[in-house]
Amino acid sequence: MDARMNRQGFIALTGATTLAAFLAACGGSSSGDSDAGSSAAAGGGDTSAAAPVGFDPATEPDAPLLVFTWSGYDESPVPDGAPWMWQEYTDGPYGAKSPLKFTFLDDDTQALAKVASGFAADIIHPCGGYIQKWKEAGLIQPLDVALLPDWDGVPESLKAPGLIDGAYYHLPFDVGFTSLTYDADAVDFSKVGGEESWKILLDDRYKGQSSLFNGPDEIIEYAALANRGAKDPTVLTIEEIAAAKETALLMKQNVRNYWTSQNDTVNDFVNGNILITATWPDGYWKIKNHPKMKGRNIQYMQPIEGRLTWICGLVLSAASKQPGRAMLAMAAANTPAAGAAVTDNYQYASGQKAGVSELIKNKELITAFGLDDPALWEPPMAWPQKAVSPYKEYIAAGQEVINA
Amino acid sequence: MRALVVTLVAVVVMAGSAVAVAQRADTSASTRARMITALTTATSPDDCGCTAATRAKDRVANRATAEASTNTKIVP
Repeated sequence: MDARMNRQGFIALTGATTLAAFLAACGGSSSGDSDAGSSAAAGGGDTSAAAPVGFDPATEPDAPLLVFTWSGYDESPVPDGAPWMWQEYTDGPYGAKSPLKFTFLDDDTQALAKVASGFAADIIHPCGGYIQKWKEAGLIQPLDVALLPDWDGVPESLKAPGLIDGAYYHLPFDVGFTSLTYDADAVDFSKVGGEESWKILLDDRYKGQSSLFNGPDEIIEYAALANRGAKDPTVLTIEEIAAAKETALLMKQNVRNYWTSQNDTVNDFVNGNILITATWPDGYWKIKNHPKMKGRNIQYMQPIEGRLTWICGLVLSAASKQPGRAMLAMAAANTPAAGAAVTDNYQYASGQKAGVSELIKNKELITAFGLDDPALWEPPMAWPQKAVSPYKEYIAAGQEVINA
Repeated sequence: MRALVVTLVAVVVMAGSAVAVAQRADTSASTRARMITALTTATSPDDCGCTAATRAKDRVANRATAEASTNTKIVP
């Protein structure tokens, strides 16, 4: 009797094992031994579905959460880090059980390759133009926005780059403009229509006195705005890219340099080497408030064609074994308090808008960057920098301009 | 006879499991390889991907400079 029972039990057991092995061979989930890459790959197959997700932080393993972010956004004490970004999570129920650990991105393309190669981050911090690449590579999964109490405070226009196949993949965190900072005492727009315009870069009265960011896609975007007016500069035809390249080459005749550090162009500006430069909000703020600029009329251009807007934020790795807790960490970064701190500390805007202005300590920043005016952040006043299309043609054209 | 059947079943199951694990490993490796190939072809070598990276470097440099110049901690 015992022997018979044992055999039946054995057969039942082996039968179950066979079924499990079959499911595994067919690509079923359930693997405690899968590494990040294979998990990511499996997740990638699933992420095209926009089905609602429902993570349960309470049932997830107690283990550190790895955050793959940019320098300045870790938990190190200020000024090196941004503990205010994660404080609500750290003080919450999982802060000790799943403490945050940080690794820094070198750049967006490096980060993609690193995670694709199996680097097992839970939260990653890409920017607008790259979200689609993360999704297409199967490296990220939809957010469980039900675990983001302040999700509704993020405008749809900022959520848009992360809305793919009906699901949200990106929580906008740090956002800002790209525009021209100029000395209005020395620069006038009379030769380019009388209004603030990207065409000022073509005015040879300022030859050798402008500077632009060394980004091939951005160089084409500036020129496209000058050529086409207030139209989305991230989507062009091949012919329009060719035309933008020609315009960018003309702009280059007036360009002193393509900067690779905003600090460098700020220094160039305040030392009188240039009158016009492309900056992010903090660059403008530093120039405007620099002691050497006292008494000068420093402006941040609101061109008739529109500014550019960059949108960076947090995504959830497809390989994460603690997606619910990762969402709670993201929720901390999405609070009004964290949003206000982004502005006070870095002069950027935040993805979060609700209740933020009240918490910003330096109220001058609200006025300077229109943080209380949603229209300034949407087309046609500002164009979100999403993935350019056609991508390779943009990059090649911009690089040709830089190399010319 | 029964013992033989049980042994055969065990052998078949173990072999099946080994094949399944090997297939899964192969699937993972090939999927990852395809993913990396897709990324490589989708990303231009001239795309520096450096916009946010540049901000990050400047951000840290500026905060450190500000602290050094005022000799005070900047509180959030």
